[in-house]
Amino acid sequence: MEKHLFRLVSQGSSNIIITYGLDGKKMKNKALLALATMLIASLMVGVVLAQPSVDVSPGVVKPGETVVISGQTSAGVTLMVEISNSRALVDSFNVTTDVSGDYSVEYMVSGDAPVDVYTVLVDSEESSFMVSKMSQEQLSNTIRMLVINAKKQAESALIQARKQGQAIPQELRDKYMQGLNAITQAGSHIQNKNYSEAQGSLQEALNRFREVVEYTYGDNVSPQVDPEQQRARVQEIIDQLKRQYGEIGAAAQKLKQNGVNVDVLELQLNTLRNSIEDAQALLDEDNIVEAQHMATRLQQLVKQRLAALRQKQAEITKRLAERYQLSLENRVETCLNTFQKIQTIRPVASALAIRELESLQARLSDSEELLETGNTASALREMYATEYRLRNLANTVNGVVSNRLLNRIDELAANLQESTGTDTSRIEKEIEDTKDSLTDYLREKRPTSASNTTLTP
Amino acid sequence: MRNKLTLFLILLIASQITPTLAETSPQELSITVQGDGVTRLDYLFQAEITSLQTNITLLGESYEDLFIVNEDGLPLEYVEALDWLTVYSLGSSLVNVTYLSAELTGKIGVIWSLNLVLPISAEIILPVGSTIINLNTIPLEIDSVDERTVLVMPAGSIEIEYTVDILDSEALAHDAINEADEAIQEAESSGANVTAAKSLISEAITLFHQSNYLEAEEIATQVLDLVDDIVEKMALAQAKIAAAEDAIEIAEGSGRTIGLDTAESLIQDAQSEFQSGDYEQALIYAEDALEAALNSEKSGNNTLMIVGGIVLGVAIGAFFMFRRRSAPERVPVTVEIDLERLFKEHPELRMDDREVLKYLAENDGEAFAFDIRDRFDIPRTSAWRMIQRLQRYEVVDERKIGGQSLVSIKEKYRRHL
Repeated sequence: MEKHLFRLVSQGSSNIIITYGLDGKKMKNKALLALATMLIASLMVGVVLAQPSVDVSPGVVKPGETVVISGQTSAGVTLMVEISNSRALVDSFNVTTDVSGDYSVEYMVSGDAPVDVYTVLVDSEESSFMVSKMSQEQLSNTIRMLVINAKKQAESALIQARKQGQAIPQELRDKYMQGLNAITQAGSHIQNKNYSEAQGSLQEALNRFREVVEYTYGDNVSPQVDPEQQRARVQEIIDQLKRQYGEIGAAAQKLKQNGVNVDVLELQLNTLRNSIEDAQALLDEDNIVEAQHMATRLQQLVKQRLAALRQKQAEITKRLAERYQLSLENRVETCLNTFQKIQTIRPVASALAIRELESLQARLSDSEELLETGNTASALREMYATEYRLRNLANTVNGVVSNRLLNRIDELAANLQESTGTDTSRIEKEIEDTKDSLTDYLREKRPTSASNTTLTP
Repeated sequence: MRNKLTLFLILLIASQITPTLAETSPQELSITVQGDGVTRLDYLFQAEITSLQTNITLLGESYEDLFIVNEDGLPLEYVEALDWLTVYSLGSSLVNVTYLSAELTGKIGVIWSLNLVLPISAEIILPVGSTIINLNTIPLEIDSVDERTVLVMPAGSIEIEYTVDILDSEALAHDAINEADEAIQEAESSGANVTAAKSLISEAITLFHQSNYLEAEEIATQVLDLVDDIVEKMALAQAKIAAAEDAIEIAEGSGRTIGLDTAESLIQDAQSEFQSGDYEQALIYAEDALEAALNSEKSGNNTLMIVGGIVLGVAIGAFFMFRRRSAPERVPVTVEIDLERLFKEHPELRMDDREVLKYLAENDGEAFAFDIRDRFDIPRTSAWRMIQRLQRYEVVDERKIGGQSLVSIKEKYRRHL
């Protein structure tokens, strides 16, 4: 008598029935081995078949333009597409394959998308495209100009070597010639629109010219320096001082607007501005050496002004902390309202959360008192602990969706503190809508008793 | 029972997990490199408005002039940790960080390098007067703003090598062509035939326009040498012709007429070659003419001329005897040059011009051109250009004495003692 022991459904294949006799122990082992082999093979085939291909075209787009993401896998499969750049995940969406297993989707890059390399991940397969305001042709031609400048530096090195009586080895001449040939090749590639090959040739040329420069100037040959550039160097320092003066000045104005006394700092900044103007005047009069000395002295003065600004930092941090205290109070209160609203759906979790939130309110009263008595550091510690526990509360309502909704309410409550006029009512409405969404969600996904117990003790 | 224990352990572990601290990656990064290697970094971070503090990681290990403000421009407090910075963002949505760093760049020989691991694609602004000579990665964008190269580089390891302030072949070739052209014009204005130099400089200019700066510079340098050579040979030929003419005149005066025809013929050839610009040939003819004039001999039947010559000689001798007796005793003249006034009136004078004028002042206000060349060890053409320049400024006069240039400071700057 034979007995059906295992039934295995292989992905994309027919059912497989394996049988073995009750009396054969060896037979059983063999069957198990065969089953394991087939299982692994079947899974591997399944994996290979299910692995989607990803292709993105074109490879380079400008912000606001569209790329086509396409590929192939099994028919009727829904795939998740994630688009990210070096900063963050930019977008994610689902796409379903057709009866042939093909998929294709047009994705429009945002008009303010940063210039970056964008990765398109479809399941575990990925491809990429570049967002740049320059076309590949423009980019290749511009790189070519950079390489031509490098060529001129290599030539300059060779001229100096000749003038200074240094022999130029044939090997170095060959490198220079190789660089020239690579530039010519790059030109042909650009004409034939083979931009990646053009860029490869240009990089090759750059390397050759770099070798000429490094070798020549490393061998007792002195470069001829442009005397005009000494002025540019001093101008760079003065420009940097101007930028720093602008930044410190703007910060001082902000402090003043927030009621911090910056009278002395303002006077010091006036002196700094006048001195920077004097340094600029010296440079404009071609008194480069004096301008440089003055700029160097002013760099120290900027450090002193930054230190003076930091002395005012305690006052501004106190004001920011007061603002944050209000925001936190608002968030705790909104969260309290939310849990009160969902109390009928999650009675136990909500009761515990409400108790926790009430203790947080007491804690916030403490931090408020600490702020009033000027103990900002302790107040910040209290607020940090409150924030920590407030975030923990979001975890008490399990699930990604509920968590996200609670966090959103939290964010909106923080925004509410800063808002004015029509903005306030809009945010308030959004908070109410989000609370309703959370209630609806929790009503639909009424948790089991086990999940109800996942409250922070 | 086991299930409950497992659940309790999970809860215990879960309760220990700190809620994610707002550690954020930058949204924007701009790196400005100065010619002295100091780098300014400008970061923009997006902070969580529900966070009290934000942890950020910055490039480099030390941050000079660190300055952090929020979206309202209010300075934010921060604490430096080992690998990151904790900023008290206190509900701010943006955190703007700027600082200076000198440790991101390095220099070996004339080559500067910038080595970074960029967390995001970033803008890198190179110094004025820099030339990129190595890039490990193809940039996403390249631009030029205020004579600075601006690269947008992708995230990841970046290595950029560049030189700063070194004159390139185009500038060197341009300068060499200009110098050669100026020398040609000056030589031409003094009457030199510079046709060959002109032809060569045209070739250099063509090569320059074809971006062949290496050869253009080489040919322009050759032109300078050629002009120098032409001017020197012209001066030599001129002096030799003058000497030969004097010799012929003396020979004629002393009645040495035999062989003088040859000398006269040769001097004509020399003058002809000089006019045509073949100064080398002119020099050869002039030397031959001089030799012929010196070797000329008196003819046998010119008694009358001998007598006439004797009479003339006696007459000249008597004239000089008379003058010597009648003229007052010659007193050595000492001249003082008012250099102070001269320099004050001509601030445009170069340092080397002033040195030469001082030398002239020490020599009673005058010296031969060859003396100046020897004294200051300068080439003939440079000396010649300098004298021309001083004449243009109206501080010296030049006159020929026996085929040599005598340079003297203008009378108005002289005080006779």
